[in-house]
Amino acid sequence: MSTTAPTTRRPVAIAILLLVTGAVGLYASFRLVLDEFQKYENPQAVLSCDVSPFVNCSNVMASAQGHLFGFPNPLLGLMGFVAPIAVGVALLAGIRGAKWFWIAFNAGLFLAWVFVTWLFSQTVWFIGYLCPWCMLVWSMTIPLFWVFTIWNMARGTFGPGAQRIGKTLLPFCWAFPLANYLVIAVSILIVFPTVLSTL
Amino acid sequence: MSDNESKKARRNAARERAAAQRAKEKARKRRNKTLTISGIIVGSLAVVAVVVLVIANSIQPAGPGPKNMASDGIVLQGQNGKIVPVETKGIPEGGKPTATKQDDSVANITVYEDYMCPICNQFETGNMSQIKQWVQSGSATLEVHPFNLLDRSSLGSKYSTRSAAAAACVANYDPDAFLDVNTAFYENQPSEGTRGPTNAELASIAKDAGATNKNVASCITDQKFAGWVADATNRVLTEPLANSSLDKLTGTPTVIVNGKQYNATGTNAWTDADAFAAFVEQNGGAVKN
Repeated sequence: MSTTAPTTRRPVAIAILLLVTGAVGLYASFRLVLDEFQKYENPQAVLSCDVSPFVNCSNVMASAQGHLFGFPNPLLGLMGFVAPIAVGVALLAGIRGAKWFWIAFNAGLFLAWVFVTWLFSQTVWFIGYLCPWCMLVWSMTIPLFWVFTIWNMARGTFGPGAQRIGKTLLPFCWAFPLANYLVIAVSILIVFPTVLSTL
Repeated sequence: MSDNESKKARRNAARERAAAQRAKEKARKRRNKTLTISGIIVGSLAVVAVVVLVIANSIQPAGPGPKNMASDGIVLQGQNGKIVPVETKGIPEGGKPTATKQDDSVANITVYEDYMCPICNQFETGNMSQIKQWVQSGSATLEVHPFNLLDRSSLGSKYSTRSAAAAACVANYDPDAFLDVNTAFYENQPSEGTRGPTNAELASIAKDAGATNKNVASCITDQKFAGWVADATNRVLTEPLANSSLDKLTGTPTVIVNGKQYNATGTNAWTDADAFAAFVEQNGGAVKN
């Protein structure tokens, strides 16, 4: 019988999503770490991402929230974004993986999403600056978490109930990151009504 | 027999074709359903985003602007050796500011300032007593535009907005005390990255500086003119500055004398009263002490 064919088909789409978001997120974290070095050398340095009164990464990086665990946050990104790249490559190579592997990876993505959402709320409402590289990291983590979680549900990792929900949601999985983006964009426009005109 | 076989084959082929047709039809229906639902999702997300933005925008601008600040700034001029504010109406709700009509025979000094900004403070401490003398003697007018560019520097307490709104309260209820309160706000300027005085503390600073009108304190604590501050800031950041060739405001402070922007250079430049006096004289200000 040929019924095994669809289940062993490699999930190319999700693998590419993991690879692209992982690579872009890694690049953004890397740039933030380089900027951090530049600030150590010269605290007065004007960074390439300091472009307007509101768009400025120096002040975000120097904030307490930028060093939540006592070291610069982008170091976490530098380590963390390697994971989706590795898993994406493994998927292309035909990995099946134990259940715990998918649950653990999904838990990691969830923590990343929580952290990014916290950073978003801090920068917009408390620090009051927008940092382009940081926003690139947010914008990669958000689809990474939502789309992968729904795919993981549809795959059956979280049991049959979640699988039914996941399969129903899978064609619309893009709507979740889109809604998440809109929440961020609308908050930014409310907090910084003049941001577009001062770029 | 062969006839029978071929009949069967034909029937099977027809059945397969029909099944393929049905499957295709089913896939098409599913695709259409997915597209329809996707459209509904995108549409409703867009509607929600727009509605939230419209509501947020309609909440912000609250009521008319302060009296005596029809140009978004308060104008002070000399009269019989005293400094008096030019009395005007406030900008009506949803209205636009009216540019000040300037008399070119004197030095018209316009200052756009943020009470959080250290350089504005340097300019104030270095030049204000000299400017006051000029205004008193009638050789200059002073127009002060407080705004809120540095709200982000007060850890979420929005000191720039609060202090500018407080200054607007003084312009509205006790305009004669405006310059003294202006000076007092600079004397009590918080460092960048601190929350700054509370509204109640701002009210008591204003009172101690001479704004004794009983409405000033409640106006400051209620932040009556916070909406106006946001509007006025939006205007200077996006629209050409009146009585000048500047397309928009580019920094704090922005000081304009008879249409020309004063750009201090050098380390002590913003406090340098002689340099500023020379600039004023250059630009048609008949400054005589």
